[in-house]
Amino acid sequence: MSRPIHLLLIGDSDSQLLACEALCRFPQDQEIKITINAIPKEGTPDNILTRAAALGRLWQFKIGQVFSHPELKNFDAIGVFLTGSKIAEFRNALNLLPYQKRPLLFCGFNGVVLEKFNEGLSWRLGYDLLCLNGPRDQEALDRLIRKTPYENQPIALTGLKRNDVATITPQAERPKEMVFTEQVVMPKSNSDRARMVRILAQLAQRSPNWNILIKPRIAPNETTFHAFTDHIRYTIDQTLGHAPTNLRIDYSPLPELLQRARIMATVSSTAFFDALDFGCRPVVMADFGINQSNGSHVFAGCGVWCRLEDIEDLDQLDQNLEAPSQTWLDWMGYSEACRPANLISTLEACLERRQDTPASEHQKPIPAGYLINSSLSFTQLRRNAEAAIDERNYEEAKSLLRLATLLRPTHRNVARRLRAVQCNNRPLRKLLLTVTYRDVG
Amino acid sequence: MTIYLVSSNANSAFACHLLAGEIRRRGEDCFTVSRLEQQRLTPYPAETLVADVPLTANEFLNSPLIHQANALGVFINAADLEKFTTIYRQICRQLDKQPAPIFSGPTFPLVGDALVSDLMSRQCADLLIVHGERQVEEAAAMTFNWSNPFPKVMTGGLWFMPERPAIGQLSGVKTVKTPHTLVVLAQNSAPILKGAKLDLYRHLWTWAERSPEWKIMIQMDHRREEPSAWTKDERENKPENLIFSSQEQLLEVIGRCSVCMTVSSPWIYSAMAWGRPSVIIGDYGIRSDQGNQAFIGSGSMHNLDHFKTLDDLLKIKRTNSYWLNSMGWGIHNGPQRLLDSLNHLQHASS
Repeated sequence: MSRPIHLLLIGDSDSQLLACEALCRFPQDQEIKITINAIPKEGTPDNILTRAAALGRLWQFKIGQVFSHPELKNFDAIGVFLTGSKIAEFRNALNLLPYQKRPLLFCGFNGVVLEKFNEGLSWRLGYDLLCLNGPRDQEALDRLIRKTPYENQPIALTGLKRNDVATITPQAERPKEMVFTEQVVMPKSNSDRARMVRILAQLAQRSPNWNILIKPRIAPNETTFHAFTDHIRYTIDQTLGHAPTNLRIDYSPLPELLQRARIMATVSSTAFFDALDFGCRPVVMADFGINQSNGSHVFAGCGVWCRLEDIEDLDQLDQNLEAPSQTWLDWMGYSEACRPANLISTLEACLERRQDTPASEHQKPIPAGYLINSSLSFTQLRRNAEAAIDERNYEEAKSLLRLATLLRPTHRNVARRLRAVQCNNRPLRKLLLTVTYRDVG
Repeated sequence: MTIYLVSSNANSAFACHLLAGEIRRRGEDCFTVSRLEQQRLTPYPAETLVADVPLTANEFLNSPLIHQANALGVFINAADLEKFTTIYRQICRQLDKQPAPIFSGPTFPLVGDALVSDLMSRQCADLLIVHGERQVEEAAAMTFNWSNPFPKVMTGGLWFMPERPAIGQLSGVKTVKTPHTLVVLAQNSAPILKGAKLDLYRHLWTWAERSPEWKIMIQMDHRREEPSAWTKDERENKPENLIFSSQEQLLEVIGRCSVCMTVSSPWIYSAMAWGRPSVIIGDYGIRSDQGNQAFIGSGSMHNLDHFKTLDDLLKIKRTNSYWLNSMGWGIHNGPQRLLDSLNHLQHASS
């Protein structure tokens, strides 16, 4: 394809926007015009928006405004990096627009998938193209759709290499620092999180010539899609009182810390791969064992699986720490074979194929017997929305109700329920939810 | 070889009862061990839940019988398995005896997060028995490049159920006989959405009224509580052809049905394997906590709204045979494969 490719990438949370950014490392010989739409959301860090703006053009429209934007039909492809139900909502809504040829739709997963892969796929199947990290995800998809009508689902392996780094500081020139990338729910229980902090503090005490920097997943005023109770700074206070002087929280951007530190430790964060990009040597904290709830089963084969409790000090770790297993890295998608260029080549192939297909065939019906989440009926959407309201997950409820209004725009109760969950005033929302309640089974 | 099969609930006790029979048919000694608090009102005939050795797992640990075992199949809660194996191996060390190999596994086929969680809890065993190639592939993916030792994972087929329905219930393809019966396998844990069980019950009610020539049997796949956890007013004013079926006859009912339907009960595998038209109810979404992700590729997941009358159910396509085989139905010599693996383990340890 000789003309430039126009891409719109839509994300709503900090991590989704970072995933969009990571994807935008396309080959220089192909002209790609990128527009990022960061759906306005309270708590999205400014620096994430600044980075997104640097990629091309930055939009900050709500999802409804995106649909009515006159330029929407001019994009060749739209990448939707939202949560499951919103991904399905976007596809259904776009299919309702009166386009002769709608832009291609693609979506993906954000970082290493630790759990709920099958459920996530159930929202994504049927998109024109799925981005996956590497062979691990590809095999899991294959197991799910082998010998089914979804078997020919187009995919692109876009990899876990997410940063292009011009200059890597040699290890010998780096200060003796270890970055610990904290995750808000891994481990989840307060007692495990306290133990994690204790292990890091004891390691800091055994290594007085090193600094251990805890990089919180989010700043105290920011939000993420995980529900959590205590920010790591409270856990440190509650566990240690006074932390050792060489153990501290550092809110600097992760790339900055990884550019500088010698070692990065994590339980199961995708930052493992970012560390490799920046020449920082990763180690996986094995102190909690191989445990599905920590996502550590995914990292147990990495080759740098180490109990921090057992090491003498960080000098010893620094000396003995080997490189991660290349076999494992290849399998996860950290290799030259898995890169964003695969998205462009697959999109081009899809665009060429589609030129020969009538517009009426672009939207294929769901095959009988092979129901997926994105094909839920109106009643099912209402029921799921009510379940989300019960769990006070109003974002999910909004998405499901919006999807329901697309199917039945004249349904009054759904419109009322949607207005109720959209209300930001908590007492008023509660009142509206009470008066608009109907039993939907 | 002398094998003891230890179980702790009705599902695993019934599965062990079937497995023990298959092992004995192959000339080995096999005994079931369990002491269930309740043997009545489960989905299974009460006599199948009476163990050869009526002891709980903990009591069995203290029994001299355990030291006669050449192999131990331990099908108790995954969380309790590690305690059992640790104590057993400790006792053997104290007595200077070689511990018998322990094998374990989930009773019903699992996939995805549920399988990972289950296998992780059972990694203290020497051998893990799963159902089909799908589970073996998932276990291989889970343990990819692990340096930590992990037990061998073997396929045992759908060993928790009889391979064939009862005598007289085998029927060829397209020979569903009239009068028709729809069997709905009702679960305690699904559908999980608030009000969804009642919604499903209303749907069945409507069908029953529209198709008076059919019978709809709601069969609990769990021990039935009184009053039922399923609906509160199940007997009042309902159509006569909408029936809550008796307990202790689950497989009989499945064997006789024209169509079988569920949200995610594992007993739907029996209906599928025995060639009965089967429907996985997809109306309540595919959710990890609803246990229905395993059925994504089955070709049997439908919206109930697609079927206006019950006769429409007779037109559905059969279950995807590739999927069913990969979930365990493709393995027909599971007990023999188990014996071969145990022999191999014994030779390796000696």
